[in-house]
Amino acid sequence: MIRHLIGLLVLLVAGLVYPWIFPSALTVGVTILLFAGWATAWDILGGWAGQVSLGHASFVGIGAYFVAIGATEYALAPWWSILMAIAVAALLSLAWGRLTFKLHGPYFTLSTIAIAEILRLIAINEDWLTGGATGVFIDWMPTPFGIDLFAREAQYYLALVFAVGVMATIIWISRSRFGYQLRAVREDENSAMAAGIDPTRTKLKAFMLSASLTAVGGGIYGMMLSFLEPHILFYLLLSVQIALTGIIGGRGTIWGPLVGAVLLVSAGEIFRTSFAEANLLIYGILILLVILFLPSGIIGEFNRRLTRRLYARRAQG
Amino acid sequence: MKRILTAAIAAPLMGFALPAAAQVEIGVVNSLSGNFATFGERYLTGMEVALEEVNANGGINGEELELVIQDDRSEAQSALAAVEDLENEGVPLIIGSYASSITGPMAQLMTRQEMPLIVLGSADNSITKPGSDWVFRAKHNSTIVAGTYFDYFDYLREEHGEDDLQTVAMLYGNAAWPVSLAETGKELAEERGYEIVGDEAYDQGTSDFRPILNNFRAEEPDILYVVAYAEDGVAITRQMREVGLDTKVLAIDTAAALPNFVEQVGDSADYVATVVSWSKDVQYPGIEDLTNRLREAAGSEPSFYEAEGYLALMVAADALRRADSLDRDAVRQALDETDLETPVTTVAFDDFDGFKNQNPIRSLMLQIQDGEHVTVFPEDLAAEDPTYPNPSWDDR
Amino acid sequence: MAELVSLLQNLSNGLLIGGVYAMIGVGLTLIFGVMRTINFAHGDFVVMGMYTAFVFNMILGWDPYFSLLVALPAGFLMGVLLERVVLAPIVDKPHETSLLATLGISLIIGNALLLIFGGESKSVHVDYASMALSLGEVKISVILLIAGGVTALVIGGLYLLLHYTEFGRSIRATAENRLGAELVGINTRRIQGAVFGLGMMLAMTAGVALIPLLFATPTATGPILTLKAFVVIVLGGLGRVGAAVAGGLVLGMVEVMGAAYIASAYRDAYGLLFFLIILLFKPEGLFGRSVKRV
Repeated sequence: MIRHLIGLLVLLVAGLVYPWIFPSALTVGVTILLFAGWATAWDILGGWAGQVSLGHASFVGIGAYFVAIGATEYALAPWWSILMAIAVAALLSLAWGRLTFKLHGPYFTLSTIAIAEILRLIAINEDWLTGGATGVFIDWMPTPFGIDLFAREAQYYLALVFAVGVMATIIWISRSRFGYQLRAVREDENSAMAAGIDPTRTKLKAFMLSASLTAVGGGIYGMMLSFLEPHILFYLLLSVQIALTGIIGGRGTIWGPLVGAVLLVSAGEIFRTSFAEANLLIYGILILLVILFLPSGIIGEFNRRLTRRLYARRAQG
Repeated sequence: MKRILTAAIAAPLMGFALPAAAQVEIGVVNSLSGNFATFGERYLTGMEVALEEVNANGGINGEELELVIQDDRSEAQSALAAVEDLENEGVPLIIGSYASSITGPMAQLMTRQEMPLIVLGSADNSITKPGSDWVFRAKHNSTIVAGTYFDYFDYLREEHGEDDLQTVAMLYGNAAWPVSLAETGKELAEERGYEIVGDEAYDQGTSDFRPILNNFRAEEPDILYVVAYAEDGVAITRQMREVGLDTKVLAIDTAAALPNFVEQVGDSADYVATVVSWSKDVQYPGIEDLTNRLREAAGSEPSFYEAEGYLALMVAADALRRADSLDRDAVRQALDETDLETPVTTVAFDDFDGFKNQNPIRSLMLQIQDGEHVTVFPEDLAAEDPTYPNPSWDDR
Repeated sequence: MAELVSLLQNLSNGLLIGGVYAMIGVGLTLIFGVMRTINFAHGDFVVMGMYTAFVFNMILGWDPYFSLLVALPAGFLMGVLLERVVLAPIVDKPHETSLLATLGISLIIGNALLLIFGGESKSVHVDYASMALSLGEVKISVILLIAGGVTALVIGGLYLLLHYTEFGRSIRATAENRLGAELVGINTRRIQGAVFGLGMMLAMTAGVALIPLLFATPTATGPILTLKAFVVIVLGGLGRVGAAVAGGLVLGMVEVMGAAYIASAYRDAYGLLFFLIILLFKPEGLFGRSVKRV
């Protein structure tokens, strides 16, 4: 526990120092923090509860669109619209989970793709709801305490608070009763049931928490883009990137998704500026290599080897 | 780590080694990888041709022009990171990008940072309406393009009688540009007395349009107004012939303007009308020379994409020459006062109809005649007369 | 009367489009049925088939179907190789590991094609691209008919392979019950390699057969086809070849009817909605027998 709290402190300090070291890479900083938050939130469902979702872009879209429509149509401050987005994301995930949690493994994953794609089509076609395919400009933001929320610095610190908040949540979960329930359900639903845990209820709680947190990040993402089109927010590839970040880092670990975000986003940025046309090809090769050589993810594999060494030493000693 | 693409040729032309000449750098954010790379390649070709021309003619007041090109991976947050990076490099202005989902966020950011943006490819109305002091677009927008289509329909009405062209059916993809062009088209149709008898959108990636076209066949529209990207437009044309949907006018935006549309559709491509910002047979001075240079650089028949890339950089270079300083405000001022003639089109940035810093470009109507794209409208720029009406598929 | 004609027209189109979907789905039904891997690269394999046909058409002027001579063996070998190098080492890991591996493969294929051929969409123009047979007032697309014929041939051949050869029986045994298959002496690891090879071969065949009809763009086409293929195999029922046909036909019918009579903007949603309903209420698929491990 202490170890993790120290880790959280280190993250906070690193996050506060980053703008001084890389003052002209704040967009990259926001992207890393958002993906760290999203992937960690995704991991509550995908890693801790073992239900791999490829539909989390829907919640990013909900967060971003609530902020955009709230600000432009109703002059609503983003904190209120993010609260509403949290409520909507929670309700949506409740219905979504109730519908699909009887499916397992790859079948559940496929169902998340289907639902997210249907939501994408709704977001594109129903222009009374989202402004439709031509998109929405955010032209107004409130200035609390004189802070300009359009400024990248402000968005950076918001994203930092978001990422640290999600990390704190996962640290709390790892020690809580809920965390043990999640792991029990992931390992074997029948045994969990025998131990008095309701698997569906546990998974639903995980999904709702995961979806709500993702929507918060979506709101910050919306502020950063400040021009939204539905097909880039409710995009299958965004869902995939979120899941990818979590899995590459190490599912069901506390620090894995964060490590995944730092690695993938910064690698993507380095490749983008140095390889031009070939950058996504190299990105694909990187993913494949990590999966082949570190199949449990970076932190997952690290933990495994650490445990093995500890046991070995103990056995010898 | 930074990949600075230098295509400058001015120094070798001088014939002797120069002392490290001063350079002027322009930022470019372009989609070189990802889903929009097709267009990114073409824009880059056009910009390279313009760069060569600028440097062969003395660069920017004697200083060599260089492009600092950054890829946006066809996604918005990478484009924003690129803008930040380029701002740090100290470029006085940026040219970019293709999709409106990328260009929109860029325009917002650069307006905040007070840095001039010259729009490269995005034609969506929303970029310059309401627009800002810092965003300039030399190419057309949805209103201008839809206007050109309906001016052309009106012109055909005048020539051939009002009763001939009454009804229009619309078919468009669900991306930003097709929807925006269709919506503007619907407004114009109502204003000018055309009846809309069909209105269907489709999801990007659809390849079977038969159900829609069959429904349209029952409505017998005089005009079919299609907004579709490359392969969708090809599939629609092929399937129109297959289901036997005859219309007097067939307008297909974007897809039909590409040279390889004719290759992929064959002789069914004839009579298709399409609006472009530039065509190789338009009656502007210097057009032949530019077409040849673009063709050589592209290695194939050039399209309006290359021309728009060329145009964006020529506008930037012209402004930098007049600005006399790399100060952003001076450059913005110079862009504001642009009055430029190029073989692509004339450029001046005006505020009109709610648009800001939009070039009121005269778009051209092309019709495919015997497998060639031919400018048929407006009359004073046309190379040939339009063929009207389209013959029935059975008679071809 | 006109409405009846248009209904008949839509029904026949739905069937023919369904044949195309079955073609795309049949390779995946094998892979998913045996390996339970969500193969995200399946659509990209189809796109590779398209590019094969395109290249041989462009360079040697071959009729697209002729390039099957190359696509068939190349597809099988590449599939076996990919399985050996990428999927076999992670076979015991949770299913999302292999999902991500195939995603990596998808990114690599798409972007390699982009680097080699550029981003422009490719297709092969054949003279019969817009021809139609008239049955009364109903028009039948020649090119869809040919695609349907190829689908029938391929699926018929696969059926024979699976049901009348030792190799086929081993594949089916592995799909039904991996442990049981191992107990009776089947080398399931080798079967998995062969199945992946066969699946990739079928995908590339689909690409070759569909190039006169569809378009290949390096990064965009693959995922669209992958998604369609998954809908097809879940609709039909897993692991059975006939079910892919059924799933394809159902998907084609649902999409065409929805687009014709409701709104074409939601075309994909009809298929996906139907897909969800089947997944939730009849997880063995419309035409599948009950599967124990769902």
